[in-house]
Amino acid sequence: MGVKLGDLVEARKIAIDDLAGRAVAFDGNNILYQFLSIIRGRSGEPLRDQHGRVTSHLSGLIYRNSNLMEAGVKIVYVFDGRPHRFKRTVIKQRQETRKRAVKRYEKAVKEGDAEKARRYGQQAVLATTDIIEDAKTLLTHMGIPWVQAPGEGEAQTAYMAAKGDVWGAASQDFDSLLYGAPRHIRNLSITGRRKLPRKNVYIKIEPELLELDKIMRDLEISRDQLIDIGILVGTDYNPKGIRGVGPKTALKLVKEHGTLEGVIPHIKDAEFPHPVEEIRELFKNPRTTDDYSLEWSKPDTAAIIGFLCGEHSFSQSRVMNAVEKMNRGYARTSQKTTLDRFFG
Amino acid sequence: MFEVEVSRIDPFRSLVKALSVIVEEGTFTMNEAQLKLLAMDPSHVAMVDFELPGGFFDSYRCEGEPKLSINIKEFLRFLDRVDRDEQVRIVLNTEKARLVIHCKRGGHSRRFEMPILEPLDEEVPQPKIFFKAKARVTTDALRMAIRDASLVSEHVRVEVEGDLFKVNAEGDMGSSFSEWTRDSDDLLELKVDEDSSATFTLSYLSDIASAAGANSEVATLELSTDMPIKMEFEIPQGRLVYYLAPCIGV
Repeated sequence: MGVKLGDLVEARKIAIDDLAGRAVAFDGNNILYQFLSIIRGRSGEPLRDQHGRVTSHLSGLIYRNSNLMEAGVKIVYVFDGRPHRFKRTVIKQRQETRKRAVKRYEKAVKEGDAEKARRYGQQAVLATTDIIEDAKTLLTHMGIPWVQAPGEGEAQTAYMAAKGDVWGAASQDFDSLLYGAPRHIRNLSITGRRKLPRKNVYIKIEPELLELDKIMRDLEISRDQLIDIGILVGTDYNPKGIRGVGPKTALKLVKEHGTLEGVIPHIKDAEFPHPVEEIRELFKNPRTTDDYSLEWSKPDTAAIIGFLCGEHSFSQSRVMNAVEKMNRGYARTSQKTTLDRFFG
Repeated sequence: MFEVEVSRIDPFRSLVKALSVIVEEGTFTMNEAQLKLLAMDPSHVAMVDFELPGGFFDSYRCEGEPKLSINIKEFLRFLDRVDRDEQVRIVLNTEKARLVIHCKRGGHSRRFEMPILEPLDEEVPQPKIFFKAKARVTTDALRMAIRDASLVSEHVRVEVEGDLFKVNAEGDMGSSFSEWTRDSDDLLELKVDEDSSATFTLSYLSDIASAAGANSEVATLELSTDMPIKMEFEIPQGRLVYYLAPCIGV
């Protein structure tokens, strides 16, 4: 879910090649959720292996990442740890939405309504422990380092980006900006085409870059103020935000009154489930860890084939094709010398 | 305007494949005599310098000096759909920003359209290197040595030492050595101003050698110690040259 800042911030379209040789930290849970909801058969059901286990996430991990790796992107995955207690409301909400969606999905499948099955199927997605463990196993085989965050994955990606250990943080949500990531990349984990909700229409999706400095400069606000805007609009820690306050109103209010505390007396129904200074603090000083090492290793062909083709019924030729892309990518990212230094 | 026709797709497709192993998006520049592409791979480790005269095609028509920026890999995917016995006409439609591939066999015609891209304004310079050694070898021998090396390593060392041309690799799984003397039928020429050697990422070299080698019997490699290698693949018409940056400290 995350913070909705889309209307305020202007993204710059980038090409995957622009990321060649750069390390990008992915919000793993967010990406897996994308894969699970988007990678589906025509009638809306997720991909499964011969034992009936869901494999949509594995399909996304191997094929999408192999394309990024081939282009020379140095991928890091970060997985969520324990959610903060302030997130309980949001988690409960999601569980309920999901329960409803599961029922509707099953009904739609029974009735053969593909459009509804797809819609509810996407909402019914759940990243179970098995799914996350499978993902970690596959990433290890692929030579992609992954990091276990103590708390929010996005807080950890932002921390690593701010430290300079990675170039940018990738997620579909905007939260990493609030957590202080200098560069935030969207649309990187999904393919070039994406289905529009509730329409049988596909649009072209291009990766886009958001830069924290530029956002603060363009909007003429500080990072604290950006966080305050997020809180007014609604975050995972206060999902409702303030009724009737969207990103544009929030920006105007925060600029007019300086801080959230300054804004509150001027709005009706200013209620927050937790003290605002504590919510703000969760963005400014989230739980993060230095306990990680970013080392990219050579993809382990035998292990990948064994895992995907042996255990999960993937096509060997398609997987081999992906492995070759990964190997090329690995050779590229591990080569330090470029031609540039030999030019005139 | 730009329009070409070919009655046999294979030789052209094979050349495009040789470009696609290096270039993702590339800009062809055309004039009335020929088309050219000078482009680097996304991580600037390899470069290709390609020229193809109009005479390569059954018909070649070009007015002015148009540029054509396309995703080469996508272009190849379309060409892969063309059947051997189809007549192919490739037309640049500047107004619609499309490259159109017409295929025709008897009364059956198919058409593919792909978007053309905004040309990047970056001038690609050529490396300025003074090469100290040169070996002209058959591409078969070169490919065999590279395949040998790929058994044991991700890197390969290319070396000219005295009267020997060598391609060696060492890795955890073992090592592989190929050597040619001037007596070899595969070593057509060897020129040595100074013993030279450099190490390269095998996957690049192997992609290049197999894709370019499919178009060419003989390649001339030029080398200096720890400098990029220049590989010129002899093709019936035109020019197909690659530069590959060395790995230093491997």
